[in-house]
Amino acid sequence: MAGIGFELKKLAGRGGLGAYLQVALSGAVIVAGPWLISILALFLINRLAPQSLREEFELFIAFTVYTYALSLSLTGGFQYLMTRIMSDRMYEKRDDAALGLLLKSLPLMLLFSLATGLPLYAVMSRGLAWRAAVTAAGVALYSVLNALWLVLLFSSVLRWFGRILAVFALGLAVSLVLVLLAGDSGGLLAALSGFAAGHGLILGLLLFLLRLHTRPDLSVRFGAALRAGFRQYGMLAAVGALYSAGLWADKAVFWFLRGDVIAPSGLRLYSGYDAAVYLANLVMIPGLIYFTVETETGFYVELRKFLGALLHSRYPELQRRKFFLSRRLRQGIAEQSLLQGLLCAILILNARPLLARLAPAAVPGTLALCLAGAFILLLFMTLLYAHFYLELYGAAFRGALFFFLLNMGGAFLPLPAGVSYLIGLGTGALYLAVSLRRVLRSLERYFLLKASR
Amino acid sequence: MKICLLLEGSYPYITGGVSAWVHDLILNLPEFEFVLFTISPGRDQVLRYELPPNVTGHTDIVLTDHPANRRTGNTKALFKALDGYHRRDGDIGERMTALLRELKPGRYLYEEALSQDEGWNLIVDANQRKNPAYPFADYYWAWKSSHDLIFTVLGAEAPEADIFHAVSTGFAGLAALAAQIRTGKPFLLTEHGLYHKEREMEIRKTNLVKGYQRDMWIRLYDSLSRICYRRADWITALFEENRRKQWELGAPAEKSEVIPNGIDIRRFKIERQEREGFHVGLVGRVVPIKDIKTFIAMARLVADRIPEARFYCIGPTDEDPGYYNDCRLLVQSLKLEECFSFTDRQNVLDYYSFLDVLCLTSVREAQPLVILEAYCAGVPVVATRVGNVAELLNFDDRFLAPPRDAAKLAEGVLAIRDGGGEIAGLVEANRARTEEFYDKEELHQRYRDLYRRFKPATGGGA
Repeated sequence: MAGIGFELKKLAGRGGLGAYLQVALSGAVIVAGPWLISILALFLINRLAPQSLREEFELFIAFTVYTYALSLSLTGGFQYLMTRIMSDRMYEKRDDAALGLLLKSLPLMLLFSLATGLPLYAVMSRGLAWRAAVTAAGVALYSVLNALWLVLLFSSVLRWFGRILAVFALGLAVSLVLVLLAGDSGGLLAALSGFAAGHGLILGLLLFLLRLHTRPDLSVRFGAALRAGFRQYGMLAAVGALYSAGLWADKAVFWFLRGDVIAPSGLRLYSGYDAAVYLANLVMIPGLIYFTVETETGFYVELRKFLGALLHSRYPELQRRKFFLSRRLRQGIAEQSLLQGLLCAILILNARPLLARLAPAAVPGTLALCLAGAFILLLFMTLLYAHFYLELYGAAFRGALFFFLLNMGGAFLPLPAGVSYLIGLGTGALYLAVSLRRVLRSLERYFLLKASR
Repeated sequence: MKICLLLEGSYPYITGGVSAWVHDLILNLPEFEFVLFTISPGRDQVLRYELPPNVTGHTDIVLTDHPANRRTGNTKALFKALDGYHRRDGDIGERMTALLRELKPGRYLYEEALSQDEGWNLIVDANQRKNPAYPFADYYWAWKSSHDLIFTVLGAEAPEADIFHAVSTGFAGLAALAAQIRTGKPFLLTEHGLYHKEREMEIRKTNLVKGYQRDMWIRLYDSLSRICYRRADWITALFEENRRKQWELGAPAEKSEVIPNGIDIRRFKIERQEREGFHVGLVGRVVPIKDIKTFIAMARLVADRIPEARFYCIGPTDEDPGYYNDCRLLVQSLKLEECFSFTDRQNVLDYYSFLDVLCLTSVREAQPLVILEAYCAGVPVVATRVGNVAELLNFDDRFLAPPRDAAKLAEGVLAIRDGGGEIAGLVEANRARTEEFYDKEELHQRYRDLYRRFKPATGGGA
């Protein structure tokens, strides 16, 4: 991801409103593309949907939300692993090999999607008319989404920000049109199918753009690369799985303990909390963009300088570079926290009117907790990524484990929604901060010891 | 009584003077039980000697291995002792004793020295004190590679024995010293060459270490020798010059003596069988340290003057196949194929009986047995001035040459050929001197006496 940050930074360096807008939009798409599309689509569909779809709208939201939850939770680990495997190839200037691996991973992802999706969606569509078709549409959306996450990992190489934006815009438009047109007569089934088709169009167009950029090397041995990747980065995959699952853990518990049934299915949503979470996550986007463009790139640059100094420099110079690295990270965290904190504060102060318009089911107190959670989430994510850069996968795993266990465990307790999320993230972030501080204090020892082993 | 012989890079895996000496010692002292503690550069080395029946145990440690820790201990006290050792707080023997009190066998400090704050601070502090101008990573790797070797030795446990007899300083000496401190048993030291000088020569020749790292390694080996000299209960050298050099590094004069090499006089006192022509031989392995190439060059010079001369390289050719091949090519290029031969392993007596001159062209020797053998067999010698060779050749410059000086060696060979009666007289005198001073029975008796003198009060056996 540091690569895309540098590209966006170059773009911003051109100056002018246009460049900044493009950075903002491209950054938003890169960091949260499918998520944004879905939220925008749900928002617009809610406003524009015909009556028949309105009756099944909550069911449609439930299917969409559950699809995202399942997709991210079940494939998070594999995504992190593939990110690393492909990044290694890209670092070696083997984009063709990286694309080859990506393409060869898609059939595996499809198999996984079918194997997990069919039973899950069959259960989700219990009690619904056209159950088999709804299952198929759900599985289609789920499968496309699983593949889309992987393709997006590679798309950061493209640097065709305008084209990527256009692809997402087109995909959103097609989704909307199909949903609104077909939903009139087809209700949930048509809406799901239209949504899946729109996402499928995004997937297809992105793959087309990738093919324009690079001819894939299909001679790469995916199985061997995956096995080697697991051996070397198995812990990273575990972190990805825990982190992704952790983001949804409390929500899933609330759906079943506190949520309302969306008849005639057995699905449940906890609307008050869900809406607040999605709003809070949207608010995270500027902070995420700042992280991508400034914090991550700055950290990467200073880390490279430190590693260069480690090879050639005297001890005092090493300490200087280490100081600059720590300072850059602290600065980045402080600035993005300030930005995020300001946004959260503004939203908390204007919670009632905002919620009335955007998420009537949510209450201001819950929104405040979710915004605080989003604030801590950005910090947690920043610290987690710093651990990845330093290959501190063991500590990253423990941090993610704290988050997952406390978030999920706390959700069973009679606490206000959002509290366990906050506690889990806060504890995880604290652990990661302490771990990082310890390593940064003796960074030269850490790397030399690693090399000695 | 059980004697533990501590050996580094020699017996029973490498053939040569030291190994032959050790093997002979064990064979000729059957009343003592010997256990071997060998320090090797790699695993699975081939035994070059059949171990005598009175060798009842053999522990081999590989210097570059990193065995897992079998023991933990008080880290603070250990690193305090390690720091004190490096800072030279007090007598070197006391510092080593303090260190070994904390560092028990089975505890290896490879990781601990780096992962513990105390250990890391020690390295940083040493770097800032000694080499602040150099890249820290270079210092780290040099520190680590040198100390890992020491940690391997200090972490190993020497077998049970009544006496620990190291046949060099260096890591064998260090292991013997550790055994002495841990068990209270005597530490005897015998040096053939001077370990630290030999290492210094190798380090200065190589391109692998340069600058301050070269100095660091030289100081390390010096300090290993120094501590062995200070703490050994008794030190023997092969000749007086080496003994004096040991004194320079702190060996107490009153705890050292010369016990020269010895040969089986009865075996080598043979009848000469004159053979037509002029025969020049070199007895030794075909390896760079014997500098066979200089012998070949010398052969060319002698053959130009004495067309009927014949040259023999008598010794194993399989130790360094690359070098052997180079030597063969040199023989071909100097057109010596008709008069020069590599005999491989042979019964040297067959050659001593007719050789007119024994040549020794080594770049490094201690007290070469082949010179004593040749003297005993009545063969005059021309050799390079290394180790104790000059003393063995009575400092006669006619027959001594600087290393790699083929022309001077050729002059010596020609001087012997043209020497007539004088040479015959020298040969007799050399034989008589060898019989008087270099009889191996005398050598073995002296070691027998030495072992009995240092036998612990509660020790058993011979």
